[in-house]
Amino acid sequence: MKRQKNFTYWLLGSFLLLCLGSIFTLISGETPWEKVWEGFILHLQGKSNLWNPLLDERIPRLIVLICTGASLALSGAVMQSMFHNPLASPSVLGISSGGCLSVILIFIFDLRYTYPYALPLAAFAGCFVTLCLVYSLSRLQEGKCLTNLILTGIAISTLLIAVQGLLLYALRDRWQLIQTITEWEAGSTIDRSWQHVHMQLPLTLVGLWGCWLYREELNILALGEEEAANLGVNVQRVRWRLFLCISLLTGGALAAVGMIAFFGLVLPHIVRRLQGPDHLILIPLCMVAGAAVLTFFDVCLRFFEWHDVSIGNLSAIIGGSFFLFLLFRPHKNLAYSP
Amino acid sequence: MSFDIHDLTYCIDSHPLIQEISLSFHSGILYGILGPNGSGKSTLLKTMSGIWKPTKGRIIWQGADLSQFSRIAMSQTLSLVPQNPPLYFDFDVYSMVTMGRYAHGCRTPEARHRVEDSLRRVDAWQLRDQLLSQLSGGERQRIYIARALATEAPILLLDEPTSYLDLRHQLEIWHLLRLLVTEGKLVIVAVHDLLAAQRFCDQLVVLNRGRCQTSGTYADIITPDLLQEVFGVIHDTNSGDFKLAKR
Repeated sequence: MKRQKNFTYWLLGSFLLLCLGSIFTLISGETPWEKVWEGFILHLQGKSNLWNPLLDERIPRLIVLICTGASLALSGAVMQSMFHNPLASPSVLGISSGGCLSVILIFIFDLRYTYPYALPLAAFAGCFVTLCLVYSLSRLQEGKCLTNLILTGIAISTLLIAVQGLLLYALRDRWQLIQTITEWEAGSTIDRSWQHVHMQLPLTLVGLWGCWLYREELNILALGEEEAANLGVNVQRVRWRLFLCISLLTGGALAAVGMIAFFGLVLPHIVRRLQGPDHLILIPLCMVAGAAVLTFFDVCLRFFEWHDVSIGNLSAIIGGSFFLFLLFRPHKNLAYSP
Repeated sequence: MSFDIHDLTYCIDSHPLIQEISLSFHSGILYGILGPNGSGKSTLLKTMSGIWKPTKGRIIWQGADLSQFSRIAMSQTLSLVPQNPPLYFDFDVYSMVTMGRYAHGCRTPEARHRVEDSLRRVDAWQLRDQLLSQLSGGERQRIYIARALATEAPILLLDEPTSYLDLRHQLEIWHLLRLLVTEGKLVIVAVHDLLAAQRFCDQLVVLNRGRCQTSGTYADIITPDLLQEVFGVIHDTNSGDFKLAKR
């Protein structure tokens, strides 16, 4: 009951932070707000078809930020519950690396201009195949699935990063391609357009809806496989469907923004410590808090004008440091310990 | 109502943990499964509950083969109370018992009523807001039993429910199981304690090296020869003491 009361405060707090971040994202920029607003009104009245920063840059950017924050936080939360491992996340298990490699192949074969939707589809497929591979390999040794999962993820991730490195080294003369890939890998929200929204939003909505549908199963899966089967959950079927949802969420975020490391690990971890493991609370709170925190990161970058730091870099630095802090601080009254 | 197992075998890497066990259980009876460590008690319970798929054999409930049941139907028929399961995430008591209603629907008014009833039956309603990590071993065991009750399954399988419990909590659990049996449930308990088996179980099954050695009432089957053969102890009938037998 206490958790439910706190949930309302945390949800409202996160929502408030999201609203503030959204307002800043919409009104701040090089073009003065008065001009932006004037152009926006003219556009609404059908008197102007000129490019408008609010309509064509800031709103798509905000939608992409919200989708990415919610997607990464929720996919991390789902993975941690499903594998009952607080270290599980798309980046730690190598899923992001799989999606990343697929996207790099799309860049290399120049398919993104001819088939713009090849990018999210490739990211989704890369994430899904890698997730299945990591999970299947970790289950080879009976009874050691959980121990093996993180190690298998790290091994597969290292291999995939090595393949990426190999490809990029082989193509080092194509400097424009290398620059595009480097920018994309750093995770950036600059110059996001409606095309990015179209690439990401459908995947995100389906992924979020799927995770919400399985909230009760996720609670039970968090008890362990045998307990879940004992209580009536068809573990294999639910797991494969959740794999699809995670891949949709991670693939969508990769396609629209690029690599955002540690976000899917740390944020659900914090939310679970604050509010406990019940997915009825965890899912909405992770979505809103994830969207709020990523928007806040973006606002910080723009407010302090850190042009050489991408949102992916900032997330990795803050997330990594915070995770170290969580690991080494004394454990008191924690819902669970890593 | 009868629950039968025929030729039940479960192997890991072709190594049988239980072999060709055939038994018949009936509602309203408390069955105890006895056997030394590694004799296959937990394996038998997990295989009977359908959590582990049997390598060979059939499990029949009221004439229907359990292998044809969906996971949900299986959970509505049997509920296993595990022995000290790992706690990966710290749920509160109410949420944990509510999970027992998954097969029927967790968020209905009926579910809330059943959860409350189950918690009251194990005398744990006052613990509903506590986290599982804050409970003692005995309290936690009662919560797992409450969860099993919330499933409304007519068959309850309990894996050493009184291990790690003090005497008072052991007695509480046994009295609760006796009460469930009088209400018509079929209760099968893996048990180590011979005295508890004698006092509380109506029928016993003795497992040895994965096979069913014998079954029947305590008075009929627990003989000095059986104790020596299965458990490796000699029972001094005069003093009531147990001594180690030479192997």
